[in-house]
Amino acid sequence: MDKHTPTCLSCRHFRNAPRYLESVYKGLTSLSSAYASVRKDDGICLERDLYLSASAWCERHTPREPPQ
Amino acid sequence: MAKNVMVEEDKESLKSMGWSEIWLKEDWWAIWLGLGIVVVAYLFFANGASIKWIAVTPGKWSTFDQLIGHFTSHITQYIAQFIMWLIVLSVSMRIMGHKLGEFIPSFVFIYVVSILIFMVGAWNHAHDYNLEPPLVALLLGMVISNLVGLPRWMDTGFRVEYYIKVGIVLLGATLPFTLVIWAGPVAIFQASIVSITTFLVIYFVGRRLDIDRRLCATLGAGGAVCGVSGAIAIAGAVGAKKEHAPIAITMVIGWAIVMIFFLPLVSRALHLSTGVAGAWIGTSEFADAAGFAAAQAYGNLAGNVPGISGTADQSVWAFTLMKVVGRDIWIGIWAFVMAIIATTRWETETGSKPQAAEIWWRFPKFVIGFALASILVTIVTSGYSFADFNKIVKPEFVGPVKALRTWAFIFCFFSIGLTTRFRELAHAGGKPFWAFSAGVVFNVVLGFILSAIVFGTYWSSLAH
Repeated sequence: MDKHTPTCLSCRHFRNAPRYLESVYKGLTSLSSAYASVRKDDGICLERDLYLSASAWCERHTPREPPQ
Repeated sequence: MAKNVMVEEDKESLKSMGWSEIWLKEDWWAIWLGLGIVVVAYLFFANGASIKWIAVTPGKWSTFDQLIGHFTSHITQYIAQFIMWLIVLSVSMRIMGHKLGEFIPSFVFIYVVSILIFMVGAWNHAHDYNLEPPLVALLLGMVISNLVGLPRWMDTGFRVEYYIKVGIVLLGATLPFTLVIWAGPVAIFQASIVSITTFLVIYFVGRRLDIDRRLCATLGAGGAVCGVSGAIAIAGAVGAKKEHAPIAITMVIGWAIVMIFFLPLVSRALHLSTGVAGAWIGTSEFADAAGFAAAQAYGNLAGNVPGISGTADQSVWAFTLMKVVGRDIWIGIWAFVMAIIATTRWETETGSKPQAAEIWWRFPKFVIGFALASILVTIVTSGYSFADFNKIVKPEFVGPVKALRTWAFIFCFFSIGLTTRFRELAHAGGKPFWAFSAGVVFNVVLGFILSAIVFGTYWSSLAH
């Protein structure tokens, strides 16, 4: 990987909004929070069904569409 | 999902927080809010005044007339305190992105019921029936959420982690920093032994049961480091499957709820001193919020139940040293190490390059607020004699901060119950259950041996 390799953060398959994660992961807010520092920028990859760091990358990266 | 909601979500997802977490994450807001209260309390004290007027809590009562009398004579204070909490929490919640239209009515509910919970705990026979406020709050919340049900939008006000972190920062003001320096190394040593060995037990039992390595690591972090927060940190670091985190969440919540009742009950049966029980809870509870509920419930027995020596503070202090100092602060290192192992030794579907900066970004920042509060109060009160500290500082400065801390904790414990909906938890499956439970048993036994036997004298005499 070099500094130009696109990461999950810029991929359309990646979701890491705290509200989204708390709605998907039932029970998360019982003893933790998606707004906690320990989570950093981790999120869900809808393409691979993984929960991973925003700085990860893979060959299926698809850039997000720019906001309308 | 409607396209406009997806677009809004995409905008949020685009953010790599970096330093903007200072106003977007609960850890930092716990620092601003908690430290802000401590600083304001000190400024009042330094000028011959006190915030104790607003830090009101129900006093002990034995008749309803006494209870009603208390509220009628202090109603203005309760309203002022409510407004204070509402303003400071609402501002932070809005900035973090929550909807005030949901938070405000939800917090009204939390506050009003918290008063009732306090009232129950202040009854002079409460200890005879084990009606400790943390346990009452938890049970009441679980009854409401599982048997009655509330509109889902009210979850916006049930911010367990935010309330407990504010409470922990305020706790720093009542814990001498000299104690952190003196007892911290022992806590770190003991907690590290238990954490590392428990993680290895869960991981290798899981591997023997042919569980995915990433799930083993996620379960291990949940059971050995810091509960659900530890689980999601490690899950992200190792690139776990999407369903791994919910499995760990289910296991942690289930066992954490059990331990809230089990550990204090067994401690009471064994007449453990509050310091020893607090240390045991610190090694063998999984989450800060659940652990404080157990530690505070047990600490309340001191002086009220025959055979239990020590003070309420010793239980909470021992727990804090063991859990926050001994376990929580190391999660970044755990995540960094596991990320390296995952990328170098396991087959992964994605690429990543673990950075040492991970240790900082995942560091539970509220601990900084806890340490600063402790340092500040230790410095400004260092010139007082023991007698003057008890006569002047405690009632006018530290005592009111402690009262507000208790409020934050009650908000937290009640919210745990309100958000623990057993029907919604993911099905964990037999193998993860057995792997995690093996770690629980090992953890509880080893934690007891170290807290009550090996270091028993040490924890019993904490801060003496």
